[in-house]
Amino acid sequence: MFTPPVLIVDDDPDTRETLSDLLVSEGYDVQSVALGADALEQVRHNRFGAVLLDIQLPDLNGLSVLKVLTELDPHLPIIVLTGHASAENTIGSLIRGAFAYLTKPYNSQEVKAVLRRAVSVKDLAERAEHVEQALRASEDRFRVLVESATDAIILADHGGYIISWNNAAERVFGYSKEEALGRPLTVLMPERYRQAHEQGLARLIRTGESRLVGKTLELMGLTKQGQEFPLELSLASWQTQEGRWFSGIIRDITERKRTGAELERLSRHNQLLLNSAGEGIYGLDAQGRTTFVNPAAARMLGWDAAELIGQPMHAILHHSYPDGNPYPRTACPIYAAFKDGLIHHVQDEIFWRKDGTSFPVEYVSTPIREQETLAGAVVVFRDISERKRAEGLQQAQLAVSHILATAGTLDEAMPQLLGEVCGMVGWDVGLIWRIDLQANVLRCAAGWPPASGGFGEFLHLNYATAIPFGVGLPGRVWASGQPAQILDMVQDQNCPFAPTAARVGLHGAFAFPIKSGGALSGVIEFFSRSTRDPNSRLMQAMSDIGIKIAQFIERKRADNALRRASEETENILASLPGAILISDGQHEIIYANGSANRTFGQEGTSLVGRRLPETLPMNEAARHRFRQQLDALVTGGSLDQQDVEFEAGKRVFRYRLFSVALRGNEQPQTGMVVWDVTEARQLRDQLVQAEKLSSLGTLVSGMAHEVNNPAQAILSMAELILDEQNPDRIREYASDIVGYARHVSDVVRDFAGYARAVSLEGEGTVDLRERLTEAVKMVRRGPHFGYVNVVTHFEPVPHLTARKAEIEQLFVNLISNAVQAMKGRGQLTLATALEGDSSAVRIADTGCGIPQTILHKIFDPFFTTKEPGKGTGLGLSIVHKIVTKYGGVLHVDSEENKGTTFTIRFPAKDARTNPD
Amino acid sequence: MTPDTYNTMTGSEGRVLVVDDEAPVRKPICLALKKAGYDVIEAEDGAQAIQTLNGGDNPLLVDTILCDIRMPHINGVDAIKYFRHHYPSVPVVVLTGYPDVELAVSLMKMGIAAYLVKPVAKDPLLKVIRQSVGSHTLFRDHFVA
Repeated sequence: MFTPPVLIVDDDPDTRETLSDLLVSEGYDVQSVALGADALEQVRHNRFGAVLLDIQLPDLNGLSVLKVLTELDPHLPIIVLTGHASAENTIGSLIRGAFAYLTKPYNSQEVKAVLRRAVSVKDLAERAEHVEQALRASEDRFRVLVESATDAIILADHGGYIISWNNAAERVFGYSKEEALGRPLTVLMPERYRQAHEQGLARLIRTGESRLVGKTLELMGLTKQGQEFPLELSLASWQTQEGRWFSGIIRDITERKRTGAELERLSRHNQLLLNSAGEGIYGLDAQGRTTFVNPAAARMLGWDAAELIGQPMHAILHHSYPDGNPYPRTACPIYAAFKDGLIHHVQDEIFWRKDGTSFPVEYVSTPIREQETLAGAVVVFRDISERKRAEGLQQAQLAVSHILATAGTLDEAMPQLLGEVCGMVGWDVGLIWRIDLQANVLRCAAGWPPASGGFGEFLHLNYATAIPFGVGLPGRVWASGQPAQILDMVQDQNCPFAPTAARVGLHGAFAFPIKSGGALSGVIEFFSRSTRDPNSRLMQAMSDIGIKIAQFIERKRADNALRRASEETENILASLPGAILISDGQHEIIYANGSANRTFGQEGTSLVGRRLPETLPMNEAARHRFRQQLDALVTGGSLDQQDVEFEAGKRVFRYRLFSVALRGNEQPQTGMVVWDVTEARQLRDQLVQAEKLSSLGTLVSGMAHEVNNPAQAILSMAELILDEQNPDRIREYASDIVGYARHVSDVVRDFAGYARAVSLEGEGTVDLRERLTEAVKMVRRGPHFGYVNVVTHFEPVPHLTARKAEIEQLFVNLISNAVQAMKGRGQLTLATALEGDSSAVRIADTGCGIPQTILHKIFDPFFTTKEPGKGTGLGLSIVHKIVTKYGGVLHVDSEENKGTTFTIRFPAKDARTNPD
Repeated sequence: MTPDTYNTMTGSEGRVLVVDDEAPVRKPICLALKKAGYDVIEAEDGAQAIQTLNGGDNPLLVDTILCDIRMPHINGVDAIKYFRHHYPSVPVVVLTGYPDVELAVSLMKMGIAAYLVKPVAKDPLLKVIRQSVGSHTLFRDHFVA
């Protein structure tokens, strides 16, 4: 084992020598210097196992040297030697890091022992450091490895919280290290895995067993952006004193998956190709003669292999173009291969069979070289008739889709559609049968080609035939809902058309249902000159076409129903007596029904395109309000749903606006209904007038009494005067007559005043108490007052600014009702009081009360509990109108058989208080 | 007793109860009736009229009730109901300020003898009263006493 040398530092040459000898004999390498400076120089540049240092040096202070040496190499054991043992030196050197302290003259054994110990300590220290460094390096390496790994490496503690997160993890999951550390692993997985993960984790912690550790799994991960992606996870777990730890190495396998899927798809595709096509192979010599033929080739061509060997290939199977024209041998790409030495790939030619029929092929002709000369060619070919047919079917399906997409009606589309399908798939005649629901038969709705052609006889026969359920090919398809075919109808004894078919040369027949979902709406039938084998792909393609046509029929039916419904709606709207207008966001009219056009436009012209506010015959105030309402609606503001009336000349209109709900981002539209309410308004006005008259009637009958009584007195007195002789008596009677006449005159004046007030008076200050008193006086004069006892509680209330007659009418109506409710007996309480900001007027009776069931209706116009002809039903409605007009609120409390209290509260603000 | 003996005894054309709350109406009418030879009893309202009738020796000695309609306490309609119910033989003549057809019809149905609307002159009034009193005295002389 290598041991670093020992450095001896002593100015005494004898000591240096003896020590050196001693150590060398012990097997140490030794270096010795005399000066402190040299010692420092040595230690700076070389490694030593230990230093023997004399503390008395000529150049430097021994203790200082010691200090510098320990700084240079902290692990270097320094044994201090001195001839002058002093406490100061001893302690000082030990403090400064000396390994040991020996005094001269030294004991050899002691030196050896100390030195041995010192060197081994140095060795240990170095080894320890080395291990530490190695550890650190490995840790660094590990970290670098982890950081630079392309796979995400994630460590988690026993709670499943992330404690380490590398760059790749950040790349894969989108979380930065700061975001990821301390979060649970569950954030990295889709919701559906989380429960299983937590259960697995718990089981692992509990039992130390895991189904996943040590395995590589394919799972789904969840990125910070919430996207799922496929990942591959290798999970490891280990246990330390601090607990259980997990590491996961995760690879995003999105790309691999995609590539894998693509590869799989490709290989499946190739496999399919290989499986579906039996390739024919034959060899040619340089003269174009067949040298070998594989069985597939022989089978496809219809020859025995032996028949072909030695024969000129081109002349046998490649002699003509599809149209029958000869194919010159010189133009043959197969032969070209052994002339120009190139590979020839041809996709669109035909080979002829032994029986004279042909089939489309794709072939590759590859030259064969023997010793640098072209010795012939190998031809690999494939019958692509199936592919061609599939392409034809595909094109037919596309054509059908296209025709249906652009067709207006099925009848329009049918002949073209049949023609396309016949052309693509190689059929000669096509028919469409539709179900006649009334007769329960199939009838031919369309056919192809035009009946004027060669198949006319056959077509006409079909057109003239009704096919019952289950009969014939179409009838069977109708019954089964499944495609069906007849190989050769000429041979089919059940086919009624066999003779005709034979005459026109049709043999094969194929029919399939037109149906989507459950319901069958018809049958399509095709005929061909050749007999055809059943072919599942064809069946499938035709079923698809049948579904498409059925869907088209469905769609058209739905369209028609929709159009009919919308036409009906349109008709209903057009014939409504009310005007209906719809305007767009710019208030331009986009719809106007007949009534609207007649009412607000000219007969026979449409209002569409005109501006709505300007179209209606409103005055400026009404139009201004109307515009505000429109704007509010268009900008999405709320609208009070009250109907608004406006007058135009002698007509009165009432309208209501509403927002037209639209789907999507379409502009908001505004709907408007306008009624002509002229007659209704006139009727209502008449009734209001009638009600006024009826209150006038109350007055008149009161007046009759007031006038007739004095009139009776006057008359009687006057008659007494006629018979009277006594002048004193006559004077007395005359004086009475004067009094009564004055009374009559007063009554008449009051009445005239009231009548004038009703018609002419404007708003003025109204004393509520005075009006109540007058009203009760007026009702008292009427016929129904009976024995009602009137009690008043009048507290001062402010005057109201109003029309006196209206307030009086309001009170008269309420008091009349109260008196009638009491049937002439009871107590009428009239009260006024200042309540907060309101002047309250109470009119209470002790009458029959109003049932709860009709309480909410009593203010409705024309609502009455009186017998027909006894009341207009307008009394309380007028009360309500007057109260509202002056900003008041009307409140009713009523209990059946106890009585009713009407409370009216007028705003008392800004009004002058009563003088008293 | 014959009508003659009665009339002779009292020297009266008959007895009339005049019911009206207003003195200026009631007084001249009473005066006119008295001048025409009737024995007149006055009442100011329906209640008083009923009291008077019931308080007298013989209510049936009243030959006609001349009654107003609009009166306090018990009005004419209620009073007439009472009269017609308890003393159906005593004729009632209504004298009212209300020219009200409905009211007239309902009173007629109760069986009043006449419906007069104020103002009524003396002669037509006396004519009605005479007829009314006459019908009652006829009845009274045959069935009463």
